[in-house]
Amino acid sequence: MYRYDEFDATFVRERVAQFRGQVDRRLKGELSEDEFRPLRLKNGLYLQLHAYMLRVAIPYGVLSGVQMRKLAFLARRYDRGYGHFTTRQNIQYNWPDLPDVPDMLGHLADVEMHALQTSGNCIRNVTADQFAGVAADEVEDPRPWAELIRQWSSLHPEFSYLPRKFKIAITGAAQDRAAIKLHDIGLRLLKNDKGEVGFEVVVGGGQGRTPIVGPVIRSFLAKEDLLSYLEAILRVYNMLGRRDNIYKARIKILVQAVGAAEYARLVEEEWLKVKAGPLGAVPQAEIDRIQRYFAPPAYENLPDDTPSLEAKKLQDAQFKRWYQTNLTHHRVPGYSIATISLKPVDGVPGDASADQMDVLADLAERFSLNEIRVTHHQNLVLPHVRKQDLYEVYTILRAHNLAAANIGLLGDIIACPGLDYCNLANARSIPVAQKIARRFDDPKKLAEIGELRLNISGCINACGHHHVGHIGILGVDKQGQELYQITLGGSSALDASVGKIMGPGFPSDDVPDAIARILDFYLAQRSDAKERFIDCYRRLGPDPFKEALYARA
Amino acid sequence: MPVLENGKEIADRWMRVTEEAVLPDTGPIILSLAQWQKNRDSLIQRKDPLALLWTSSEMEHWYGENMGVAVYTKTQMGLSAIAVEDFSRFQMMVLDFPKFGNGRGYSFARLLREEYQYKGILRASGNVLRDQYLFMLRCGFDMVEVSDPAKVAGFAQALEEFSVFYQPAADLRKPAWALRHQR
Repeated sequence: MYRYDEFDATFVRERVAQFRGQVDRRLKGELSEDEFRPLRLKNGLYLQLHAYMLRVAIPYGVLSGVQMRKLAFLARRYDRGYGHFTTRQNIQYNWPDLPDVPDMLGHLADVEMHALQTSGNCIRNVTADQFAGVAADEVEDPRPWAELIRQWSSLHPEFSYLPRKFKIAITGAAQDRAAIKLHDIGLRLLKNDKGEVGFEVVVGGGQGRTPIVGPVIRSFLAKEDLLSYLEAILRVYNMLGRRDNIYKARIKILVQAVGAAEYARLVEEEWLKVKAGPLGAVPQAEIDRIQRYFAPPAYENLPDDTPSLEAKKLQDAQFKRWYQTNLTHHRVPGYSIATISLKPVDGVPGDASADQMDVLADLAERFSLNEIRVTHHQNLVLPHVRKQDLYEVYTILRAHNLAAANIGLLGDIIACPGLDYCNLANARSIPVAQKIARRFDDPKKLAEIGELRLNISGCINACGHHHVGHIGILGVDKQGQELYQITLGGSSALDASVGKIMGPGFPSDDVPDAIARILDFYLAQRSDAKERFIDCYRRLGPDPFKEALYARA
Repeated sequence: MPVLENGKEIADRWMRVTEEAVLPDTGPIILSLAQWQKNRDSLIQRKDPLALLWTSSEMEHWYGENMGVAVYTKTQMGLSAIAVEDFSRFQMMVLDFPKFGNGRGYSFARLLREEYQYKGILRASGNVLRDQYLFMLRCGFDMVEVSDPAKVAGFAQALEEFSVFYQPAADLRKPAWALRHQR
C-alpha cells in the first residue's frame, strides 16, 4: 500500500486547516451558503435531505486495517453507527454536524486519508480494479498510476473549477472490473505488439441522463506520458466544454458534439505543447518510488491444494455456496481473493455498521496481509486470504451477517441511497432493492439464474448505474406516484452497453413480479445453463423480453 | 476596486474604457476585444500602455477557432479579432471570471503563459474569491481585482495555506515529486 511521506502528510494537514477556516467563516456568516457550497463540495460535504453528508475518499478502493477501524470510529462518533460504501469506492456518512467535520477530517489525516475532491466540479477520487495486484488476468498493477493521478489531481490549480465533475477509472486487467468505458476518462494498461506496456485511453463515457459508452481516443499511450496527456484532455474540455447548461456540461457531450476523432486531434495538438512544458517529465525516480509501495507482499510458499478446505465444503453446504460465489482466483498458489457481500437480504446495499467495520479490520490484519478493497459494486474484498484460513474467515463473517453468498448474482444489487436520503431523487431505491432481494431469497434459485447485474437508481442521475445493469431499474415520479421503469441489456464490462427502456413503469410492489417474469422467460429460453442472462438477451433482442414483461396473467 | 499583487493592495493605474466611450489619447486603458478590432490601426500608434479584457466566451471562441474547431457557437468573432502576434502589444491581459465556478480563465491563463509565451501582466477580474487566489497565481496571474474591500485581508492569508504542491504549473513552484528526489 502507498504510505504518506512528509510531503503528503503536510499537504493533507494543510487542507484540513484550510477547511477548518472555511467552516469557521461559514459559521460566523462571513460566507454565504452560495459561496460556501463549492468550497464544502471540494471536500466531499453535501447538504442532503435531512443533514449534511460527508463522502470520504478511499483512493482506488484500497484500505488498511487501521484505516477501516478509523472509519468505524467516525461512524460511531459522528454518524449513527454505520457508513455507506459507494459505487466509486468511497464511504459516506449521512449524519455529521457541520462544526464536527473539520475534526472528522483531522481523524482521517491521522490515518493518511482525506475527503479531497469526492464531490464538486473537479477531478474526483480516481477508481480502479478492486483486484489490482492480485488478479490473474492483469498486465500491470494500475494502483501506482492511480496514486500518481491522485497526487497530480489534488488541488490542481487549473482544473478545480471545471464545467462539471470529472471521473477517472483505471484497470490493468483483461477483464474490466472498473467500468472504464463509463467514465469521463477510462484507462486500461495493455501490451502493444512490441511487447511494451502502455495505456488505452477512453474519453467521454458516462451515465446520468445521457448514457454513453466512451470511445477510445488513443489505442496506446506510453506510460510516462500519462499525466501530460490527461492534462491535454482536460485543458481542451475546460476551454470548450459547455457551461451554460448543467445537463450538457460533461465531457461526453463535448466529445459527442465534435466527434471522437476530432476530439482526439485537439488533444494530440494540445498534448505536444503540454509535453514540452514542465509536466512532460514525471521523474522516473518518482514512478519507481510509488511503484515500490505496491510490490507484492510477503506471501508464503503454499500448496494450492488444500484438503482441509475440501472437507469443509462437504460438511457445510452454506460455506460451499459462499466458496463458489464469493471467491476469485488469486495469482499466488494457496491464496484466494474473498469478496464480502454488503448485500444481505433486508440490508441496505453498501451499508456496513461500525461493528462490522471493526470485524473487517481485524480480519484484514489477521488473514489478509492487512489489506481491504472496496468494489464499485459496493462490496468489500479481502485480497490475500490463505486458502487454509478461508473457513475460519467465513465463520467470523457469518457471525456478523457478512457472509451473504451472492456476489455477481441477482442479490448483489447496486442501489443509490434514493429518496430515503438524497434530495435529487424522484423515488426510493432501498425498499425496492429489499423487496427484490426478499422475493429471490433462495440460494438455489439465485444459482440457477446465474450471473446477473441488477442495478437501481432513484432518479435519472443514475448513481445506481441502472443504465449498465443487465436489468436496470429507474425510479421516476409520475404525478406524485413513484414508478419504476425497467431497462434490459446494459453492461459495464469491456463489452459495455447501455440498457434499453422496456416501457411504462411499475409501482414498487409490482417490481419483484415484473423481474420474475423476465427471469422466468430467460430460464425458459436460454440455450443452456451456461448462457448468461445478458447473452441470452443479446441473442434474442428486446422484443420477446418486453412481451414477457408486460404479459399479464 | 482594490487590486492585489502578491497578496498586497496596489494602486490601480488602469482605466477601463466602456464600449461606447471615446478612447482617451493618453493614460493606460483596458480595452474590449471589439474595441481593439475596430480601432487597431490607431491603437498601435498610441504611446501609452494598453490592456485587453477577455470575457469567458471570447476565450472559448478564440481558442476554438485557433484550434480549428467550431464547437457550439456561431460566433461573430473571427480569428481576425486578434492574432497571437499582437498579444505583445498589450502590457496587460485581463481575464474575466463571470462566476467563481467558471474556471475557463485558469486554462486560458496557462495557455497565454505557456503556449503563447505571453510575458505581460495577467489580471483576474469578476467574481474572484480568496479561495481561488492561490490557484490563480499558480496558473500565471499576477494580479486580481477584489470586488469587496472588506475581504482583502483574507486574500493574503489564502497564500499562506499551502506549502506542498503536487503538480507543476505556470508559477514554476516545485512540485512534491521534484523536491522528494533532490534530498
